[in-house]
Amino acid sequence: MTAQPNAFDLPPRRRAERLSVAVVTELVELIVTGQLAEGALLPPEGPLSDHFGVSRTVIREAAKRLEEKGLLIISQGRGTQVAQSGSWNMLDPIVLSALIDNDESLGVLDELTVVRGNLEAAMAGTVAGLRTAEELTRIEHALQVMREMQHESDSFRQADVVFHLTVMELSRNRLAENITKRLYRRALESNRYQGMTYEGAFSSTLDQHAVVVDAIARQDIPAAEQAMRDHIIGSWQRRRFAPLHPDTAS
Amino acid sequence: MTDSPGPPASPLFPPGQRKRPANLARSVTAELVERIVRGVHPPGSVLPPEPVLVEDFGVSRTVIREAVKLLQEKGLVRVRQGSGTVVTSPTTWDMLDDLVLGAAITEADGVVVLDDLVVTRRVLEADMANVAARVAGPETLEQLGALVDEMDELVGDQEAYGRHDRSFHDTIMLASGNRIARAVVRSLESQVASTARYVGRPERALCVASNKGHRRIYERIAAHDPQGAAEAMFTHITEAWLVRRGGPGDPARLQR
Repeated sequence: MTAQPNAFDLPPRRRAERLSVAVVTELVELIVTGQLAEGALLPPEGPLSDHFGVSRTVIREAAKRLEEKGLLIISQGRGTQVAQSGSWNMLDPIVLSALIDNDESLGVLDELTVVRGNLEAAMAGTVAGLRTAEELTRIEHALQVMREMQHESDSFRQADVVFHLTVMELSRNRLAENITKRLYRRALESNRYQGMTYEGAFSSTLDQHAVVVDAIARQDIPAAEQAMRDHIIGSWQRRRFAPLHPDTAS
Repeated sequence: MTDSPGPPASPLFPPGQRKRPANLARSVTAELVERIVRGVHPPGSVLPPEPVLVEDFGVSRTVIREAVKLLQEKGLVRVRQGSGTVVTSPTTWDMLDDLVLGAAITEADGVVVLDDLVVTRRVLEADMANVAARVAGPETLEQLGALVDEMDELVGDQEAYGRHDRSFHDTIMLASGNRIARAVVRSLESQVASTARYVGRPERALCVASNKGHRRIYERIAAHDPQGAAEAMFTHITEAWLVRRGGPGDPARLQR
């Protein structure tokens, strides 16, 4: 997708690739939303290539990509079948995006938030246990920046994200940090996750973050875990069930 | 995707020889992933230019390009026009990718990565056990009970025990209904299942101890005790890892 210095031999391939990506995205969407049901046979290559207006090569390429994502089972002779959802790779970026885009019916943001809440809670606990004085200062500073931004919603949101990223980074758990960030980033791309807000959201976020910081300052591991978990899961539930609130940010 | 379709379109799937460039690209990628994770090419440095890599690996430019694209997908490099292919900082690496995680674990400090993996896994599985204790129906309980009984008989057969073990954990994850949490645990598991460092030596005593943990989890879920089930799962995963762990360093991060 990135431009290469010598583009001469690229145009035909890149076009095919882009087509293939579009077909992959659409097929993933059809499967994730159940329009192509689990266990169902995928239509044969011919009709599919007519439907998408692409060559059979592109269809075949796309099917292979879906097989890698655990969405299709390709078997010689018996055709291509939609796999059971238990074997789908939910963390694949395209699969996850399709799930999130259709969250209203699929509820995947609830699951994602629980994962995030649990992992960030564990990381906050680790930080409470291992933090140095300088590290505590960094976290306190991140909270202070949020306080100063509380009347500018875009900057406040950014400062909020920075606060969470700081705690994760200081946990030194690269794996949990990496997984959480990936999920968090996907969720932030979703209007449904971002767009909803509720009365007094900012001040309540500040209060809850202050509880986390306080527990980290006291090196109280269970309290830090609890505070972070309650904050993440609680604020999603409040957003989710709140009556739609006119949002000042875009 | 790797090259233009040479042979005429076959009715089903492409003939064998078209697979070769992709496989080559995968081995080149594996080698480059390892070098990057090992720090041979540190974050911020520029990867050797295409012709050098072509020479190094004795493969075509197409293969090298494909490999670099795969590295990009894994978040290990950024291709910038003019300044070449730059190694990114570890926070952007896809740690759930099998090559990346595999390389990180075989590093000198790999045991720390496994500690982190256990911390990650246990918090998610403990929470799923909590939910399972609230929602598990009779069939799930029956399955879990049967698996625990069978594992008592399999403590001498490491491989069969392992299969039942995974199935026990997966039954609980499925019962919880959290597909994302299950996906995270499964992808972590699948990538370390084959590393000796994680699996440990096959020992009867370890299986016996591990199945005591399973039985406690099963009993708490059957008693519909969410808190107890979560604690039992947490303890089981932690203890099972600590007896296998060995290795250097203090497992400070496992403390709580």
